[in-house]
Amino acid sequence: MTAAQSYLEQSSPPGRTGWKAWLLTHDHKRLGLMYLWAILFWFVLAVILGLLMRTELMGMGRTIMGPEAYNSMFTLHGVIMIFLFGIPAIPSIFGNFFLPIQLGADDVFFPRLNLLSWYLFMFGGGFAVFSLFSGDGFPDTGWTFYVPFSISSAGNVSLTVTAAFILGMSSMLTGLNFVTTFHRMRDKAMGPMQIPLFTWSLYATAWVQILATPVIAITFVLVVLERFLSIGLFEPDKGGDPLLYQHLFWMYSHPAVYIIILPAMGVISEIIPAFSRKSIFGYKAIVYSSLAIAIAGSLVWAHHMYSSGMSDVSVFVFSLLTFLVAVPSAVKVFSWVSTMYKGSIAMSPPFFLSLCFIYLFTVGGLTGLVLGAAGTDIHVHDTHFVVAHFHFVMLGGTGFAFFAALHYWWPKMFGVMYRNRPAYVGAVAAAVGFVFHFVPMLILGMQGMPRRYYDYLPQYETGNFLAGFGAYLLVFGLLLMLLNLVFSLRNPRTAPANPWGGTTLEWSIPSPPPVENFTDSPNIKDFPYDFSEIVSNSNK
Amino acid sequence: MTTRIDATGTRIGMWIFLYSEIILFGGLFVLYAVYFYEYPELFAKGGKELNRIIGSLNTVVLLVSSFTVASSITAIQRGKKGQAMGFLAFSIFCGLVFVVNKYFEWGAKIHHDIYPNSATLQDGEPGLNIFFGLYYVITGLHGLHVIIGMVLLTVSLILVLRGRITASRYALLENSGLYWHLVDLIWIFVFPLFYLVL
Amino acid sequence: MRFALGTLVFILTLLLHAGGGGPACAHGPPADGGANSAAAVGKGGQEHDSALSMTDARAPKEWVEEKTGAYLPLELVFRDEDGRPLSLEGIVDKPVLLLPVYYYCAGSCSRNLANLAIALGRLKSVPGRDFRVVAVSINDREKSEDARRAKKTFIKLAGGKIPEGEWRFLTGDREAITTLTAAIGYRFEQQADGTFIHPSALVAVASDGRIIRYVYGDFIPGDVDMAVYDAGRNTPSLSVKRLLDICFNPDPNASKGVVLAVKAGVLAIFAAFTAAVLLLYRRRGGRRDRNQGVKE
Repeated sequence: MTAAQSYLEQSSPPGRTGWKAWLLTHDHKRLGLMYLWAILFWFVLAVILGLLMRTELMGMGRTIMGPEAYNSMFTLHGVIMIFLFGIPAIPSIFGNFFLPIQLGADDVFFPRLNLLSWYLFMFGGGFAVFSLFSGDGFPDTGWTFYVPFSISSAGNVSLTVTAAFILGMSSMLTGLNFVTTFHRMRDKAMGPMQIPLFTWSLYATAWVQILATPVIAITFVLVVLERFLSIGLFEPDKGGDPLLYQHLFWMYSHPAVYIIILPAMGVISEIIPAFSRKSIFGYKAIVYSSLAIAIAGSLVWAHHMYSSGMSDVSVFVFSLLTFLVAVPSAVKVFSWVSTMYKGSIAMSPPFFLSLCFIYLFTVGGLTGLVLGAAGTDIHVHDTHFVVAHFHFVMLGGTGFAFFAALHYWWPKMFGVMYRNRPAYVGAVAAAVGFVFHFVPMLILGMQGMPRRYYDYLPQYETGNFLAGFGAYLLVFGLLLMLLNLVFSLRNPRTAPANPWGGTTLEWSIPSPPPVENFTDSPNIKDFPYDFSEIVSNSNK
Repeated sequence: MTTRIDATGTRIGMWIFLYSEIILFGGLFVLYAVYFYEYPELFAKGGKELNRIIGSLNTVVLLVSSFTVASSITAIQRGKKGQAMGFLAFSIFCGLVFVVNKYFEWGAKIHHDIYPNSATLQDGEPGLNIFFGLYYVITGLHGLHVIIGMVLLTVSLILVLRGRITASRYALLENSGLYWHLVDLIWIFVFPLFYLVL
Repeated sequence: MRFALGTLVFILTLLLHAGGGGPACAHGPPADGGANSAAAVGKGGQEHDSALSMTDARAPKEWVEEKTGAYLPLELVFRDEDGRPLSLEGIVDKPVLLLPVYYYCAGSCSRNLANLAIALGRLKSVPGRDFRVVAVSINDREKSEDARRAKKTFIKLAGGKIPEGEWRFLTGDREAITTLTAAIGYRFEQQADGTFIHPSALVAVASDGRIIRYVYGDFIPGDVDMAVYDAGRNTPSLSVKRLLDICFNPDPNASKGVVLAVKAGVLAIFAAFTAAVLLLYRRRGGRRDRNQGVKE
């Protein structure tokens, strides 16, 4: 296949040229790339904000900013990382690109809806930027927008919350698209138990996206209405209950973190077998655990509210349910490790990043148990322990999986190979920096340092100072990996169809793929992780 | 590859979208449930202020319009373009009647100083404030959806007129109809909650 | 390695950008750590930060100076919920939980009163028999109607566990308020926009007006129970020093410089990104046309 015939040159619908060929595209692959550039922009922005916050915390008192600015920083950092990076990153980039291919289809079921999802994403992001530049500036309420402060606060809460609403719509429509594609466009020869695990994880995620997002939509609508009309639905003075806001908010936002992690786990489930040259251990267990996480994860939202004033019975019930959610996640970790056991390991940047994922996510999960148990949570609630926990799972987890996916699928998407050495150096720097950045936070949290404070008591200064160094190392590693990938785009397109020896369908088509994905009909294996052919080929 | 017309897939997509709309209103119903538990007598008192006749009228209007929308789909399936257009126009008209009724209902309340953040509500019982707050939010959001539904039906009407919706290709009409049924269904929940059980 | 060096330079540039963006930086504890510097609140600048700075470990105690063991000035007269004059002596005839708030507070007062209401419903002590609650407005401009409204709401929130006569909501003139708050060591400041900065704390007082114990923060039932118990035995005791909750409305004009720097930074990064993508496009001769200027 010559270079001129890939999706990068040919447009879908056919015949379009120039910018219209991209901005009006129906091609899921082009949309994946468009999401990629936008999401990388948001990621870099939010990382730098995090670095600014961390710099402020490195010294006692006011280092580079005061409390109002700091409050706006962590709000902005949170809003961007959750709504503009965490939730869309893997589904909208890699899901869009690879779900149809892995199913043997030529596109998603609703290509134009897919395009609309992208426009909604950009539009929502635009709103967020607008709320930064206009009026009273960005809100300082935290990304959780708790009432009553979010209703009375002077910042641009309504605009930001509307941005999140629009982004939620984008996410929901993507989920809708994926579910329909999954059910209606699978190749006839591919039964449910032959679907690759990445696609399964996206399917589970899609259901959460569809069912949970409307809850945050109505919650944010209510916040806007309260700001403009002062109805009083969440104000005790007027008969309302602020706790109800928290319930509604977390009813989405907890499943949201499963939207964030499930596709990441799907990526790892693809990478581990490929580089162990061995079929995934416990395929069905992973499928069922993905669905179990999606379902059980929707039942545990109030574990964010143990000290908010709920009844003891509620606290007990949610604590119990939270423990249950840990089980399917553990099943996955065991499966991945068992896959590697007695496999023929081939080291590569994506595999290395996946190993980092397994370690960091496990630590994050274990710290989650501390938080899930109400008794211990009371002591570390709203401290840096919580901050460290969710960064372990969302950055150490999804973040690293995102980078693993980038390194795994980059040759397929662009047809180029990147240099391995900067990738490894960046990955090591990021992993080491991560540990030095967030482990002190676990300790500081247990010592009682509250979160979302721009300043702290003297006994926390050493920990914060050290954590700051880790932060710079982490950011250095992340940026190094990104720059390495971006600069590789200048290389000639010499990537083979299957540089890693993967068995799922995307590796059977050229790199980069043709616009219609499959020129010959796809060859569906009996089992998606059948490495016998790969192994026998390499033995020749 | 060739474009395939997979009506089942389109329906799945539409139903999933409708499901999400139901959950959107579901959040509001959760609020209603919690506050009803908190302020039962005051909710009853507030409910008495609402006019059951107008409410029932609105219910009938929406139910009839749902029927005519379904009829228009059957009509187009049978190739009866004129009939389909007539039914659609009637449904849109019913929607208009609903919205006008709502305008009068709200107008009456506002005239009596009962609206979000009004003095009467501020100084009165908190439970009553919550009741009417929920009333305005829920019926308001529903009214917005009625208007959106009317827009969809109007678009469908125009496309039927132009011959773009035909007996063999009526997915858009069907989906607009489904949306309208959803709007009707939500009202069937709202009506008892505010007008009947209190 | 060129990439590593380039990345390092990039980060250093960002650092310098961030460091130079804000107003003059200060390291270490601020010069004036006293609570009186709160008078400068609302004008931005360093004094604002220091008033609320947790770096000064004395700061929490400065807002509330515990006067455990001293006596309340029981002769002070306030207005009750119906506007009638009521002296403290009249209601401090059993252990009293005294809570300074103001009824139109946009900040955490509402939440604190609600927390207290709910906590009161869960106490082992029995309201009426063991204690009574008295909320006093620190805003001399508030009237008995405001107190009445608040009473209605919060009695309701307590779920019927508090009889109406056992939770009083008082208002008063400036002199009475300042005398009372000075007696319990409670400091607050009014801001230019009419709102107040004040800590969230309540005082447990025995039936003879003796100050027994302070309870801070979110008013956990356990803390309140202990306070009532000690007040019943008229034994002054140590308060649990929870993190002092301070109710204030932040000044949006502070730290404008840093916010400006962030805005500039966002634009700069966006420009860099667009430039990078367009550059890549140019090199590949039109193969990937990514126009990012659509909505932003």
